[in-house]
Amino acid sequence: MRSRRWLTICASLSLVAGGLSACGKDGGGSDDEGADSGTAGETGGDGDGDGEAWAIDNIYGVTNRDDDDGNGKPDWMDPPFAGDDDLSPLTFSAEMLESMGNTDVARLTLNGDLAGIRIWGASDGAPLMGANSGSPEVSSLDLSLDQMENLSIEFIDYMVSSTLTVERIGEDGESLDSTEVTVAGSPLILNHHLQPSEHFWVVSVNFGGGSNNASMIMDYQDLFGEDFSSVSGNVYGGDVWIQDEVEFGTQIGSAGERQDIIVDSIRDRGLDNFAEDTADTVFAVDTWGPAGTANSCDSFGNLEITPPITVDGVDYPYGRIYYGDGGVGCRVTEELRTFLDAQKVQAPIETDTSWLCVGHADEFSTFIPDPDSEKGFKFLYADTGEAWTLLETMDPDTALPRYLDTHGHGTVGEILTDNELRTRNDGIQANYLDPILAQYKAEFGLTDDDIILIPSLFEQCGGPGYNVALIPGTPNLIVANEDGGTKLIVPDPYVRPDDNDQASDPFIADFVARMPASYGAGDVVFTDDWYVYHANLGEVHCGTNVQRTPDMPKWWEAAAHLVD
Amino acid sequence: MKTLRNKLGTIVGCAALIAATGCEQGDAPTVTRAALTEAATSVEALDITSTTSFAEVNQLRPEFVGEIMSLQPVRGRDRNFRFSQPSFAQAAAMPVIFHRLVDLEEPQVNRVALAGALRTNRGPWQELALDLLGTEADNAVRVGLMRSLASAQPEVLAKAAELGLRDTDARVRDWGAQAAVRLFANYGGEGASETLSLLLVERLKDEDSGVRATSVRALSFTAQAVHMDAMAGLLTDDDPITRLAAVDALVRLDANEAKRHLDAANVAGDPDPRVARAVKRL
Repeated sequence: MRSRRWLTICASLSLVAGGLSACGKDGGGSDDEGADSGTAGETGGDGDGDGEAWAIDNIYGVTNRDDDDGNGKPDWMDPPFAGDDDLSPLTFSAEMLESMGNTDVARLTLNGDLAGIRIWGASDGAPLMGANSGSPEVSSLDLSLDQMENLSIEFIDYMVSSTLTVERIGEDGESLDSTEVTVAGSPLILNHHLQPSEHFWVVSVNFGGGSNNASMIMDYQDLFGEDFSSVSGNVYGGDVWIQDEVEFGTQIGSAGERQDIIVDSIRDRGLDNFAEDTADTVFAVDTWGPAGTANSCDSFGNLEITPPITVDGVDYPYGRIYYGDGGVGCRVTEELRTFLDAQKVQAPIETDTSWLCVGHADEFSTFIPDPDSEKGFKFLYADTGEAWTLLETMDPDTALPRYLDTHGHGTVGEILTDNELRTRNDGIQANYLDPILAQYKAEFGLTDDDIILIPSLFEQCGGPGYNVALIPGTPNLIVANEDGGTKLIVPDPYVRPDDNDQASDPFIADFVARMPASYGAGDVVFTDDWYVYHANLGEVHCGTNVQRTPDMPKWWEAAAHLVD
Repeated sequence: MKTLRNKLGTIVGCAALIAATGCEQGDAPTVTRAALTEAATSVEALDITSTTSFAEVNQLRPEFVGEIMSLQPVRGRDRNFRFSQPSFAQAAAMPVIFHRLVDLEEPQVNRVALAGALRTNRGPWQELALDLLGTEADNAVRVGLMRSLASAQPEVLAKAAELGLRDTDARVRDWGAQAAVRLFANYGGEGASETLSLLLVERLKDEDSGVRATSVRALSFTAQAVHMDAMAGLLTDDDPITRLAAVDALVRLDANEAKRHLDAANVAGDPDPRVARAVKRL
């Protein structure tokens, strides 16, 4: 987990200074997260008639699924240890402690997901309550005053929730004070393109015969320096599709906790071990779905997230998840779909990608930041009509050496006069792209002003109904939000004779012209992904992964309407 | 196979092309428009009786041949393997590709990818691939060959389509039908015999839905309304993609006549939204 030093200090201060409100800011969660953790649930006075509260703030935590001690097991499988910083402190205020009479006990009663939450005492051994505390789990416990220090709550699973009632019980068994708080684990929140980018990964390969991604690697190095890692293709079997193998997500807690999650796909090709190799002690790694059952739609180029949106009056402060249904034999594994649905805050939708060979949602659309617009983003969406229009402005004799190498079209004219290609793309537009856009507009609350159409053409790549980008899918790009602003890393479309003369490419000029005004010179970087990615049915986004900062509002507040 | 090997022994072209263009080697290409034009001209001008064998190419450009011999296919995002390296597109690579393709010691996955790599090779591979399609025993290799041949020039396309449509493997038949689509859509059916149209009509009843869908699409470009009744039979096909292909094909062929068939089959009420939407657009 992040911010370990802060959490340690906070936990020790909290007893002294009277509760979580003494805790300050953290770099992980939202900008203003103090330790205000929501509604205090006092249900009774403190029994002494002075009007003071017997109260604890609600506790929202992160799952303890990383491996802080590096022993090869998720930390929830170990007893708490020094350095395990993913437990939430259960802290009683100084007033509560002072109110305890010599013979009083604090009675804790836990109701809800007892198998996913547990409470630890100060000493080692079994948890006091909840998961693994007994069979059945201990749900009620009396603590004496000296046992009320150094308690902590551990969340084993995502989106678990319990009600914790804390009573002060007098000698005669009477409840003198009582308070009830919510104790809940964070949902898994997948990152979207408006969040700051922290780190980039690309797999470096040389397939020989003129096929390597040295140029793209250099572009990333130049742009992001130490924030970029070139991953050795030799280690990972030449598997360049790093977007498909893992998805980065996060959790945040009310004490400022941040737990980054790597969702490790069941795809399990060459990059199978990348998540584990990268996790170190920082990331938690989780997988949903049975190994050995993966289809193309289980790759995470087919797991995308919108920016924060409002749809029919409902706010989605973390955006919505969208993924493709690739038709027969190609669908996101049911276990992952069920899990993502259960997280509620990003309310997933499924769309029709059955017309694509690969079947991924990232092949024809994406969201990019647009700080000047009301919503803060624009939606880029493939449009075949725009491509024909643009091509028709070009000299039909314009040579296209890259296309000749990979697609067989040697000139612009050969594309324009390819009637099979034209009717195919007309069908794709009418039967798929237009209806999917209508679905996205409805599900994401988009208007025409939010949408930028991007000239795109597709060609057949498999059976009769299967297609892939002919012109490199420029919406299949990477969004980098750095201190200096946003940069887009876009596949070079190479609709030109001279590889080295991007300035002469009408598709590059057109793409830049379509971008929001906030994108200045140099903010859109066209990189060479042709032989390694495009020619193998993917693009820049497919070949890159990005970890992002959870610069986001508190889910227990901003998404309460979705969680409830 | 022996016949083809004999032909390979007398393969043409690359020496002349190499002489004309210097035939680019391994690294990222620096092709200019002029060089492309020159290369294309040289390919067209090849005298296929002045022969160059694999051995001769190897003698002339051993490094290049060695590279093509050593390269392995790349696994795509769709899990299929391809020789997507640009050096495979060069005409000089053609005899090397065939050399590996007919070598049964080569792993099958490589042979399939080699067959597919012919599609964008700039050498005179088409007649040889057609010969090989007729003799190759491996189904997957034939799929690769047929896929490449679906991009051939019209003089080869018609023969390839007929051969493909008669294949025992559905995937080959599918690409055979796709060859017919290109032939009729892009070349006005140049070189096509009546047999090809009849084969396509026959394939409307193929056991494979993909073949049915591609065949009905091919027929839509034939301008032969006589086949509309047979095509309309697919409006009630079990497979929604085939029904969608039938709707598009009928409308392309004759929108007015298509309306009659669509009404008769009540396609507007199709349970698949893609099909229903296609009808609604009319």
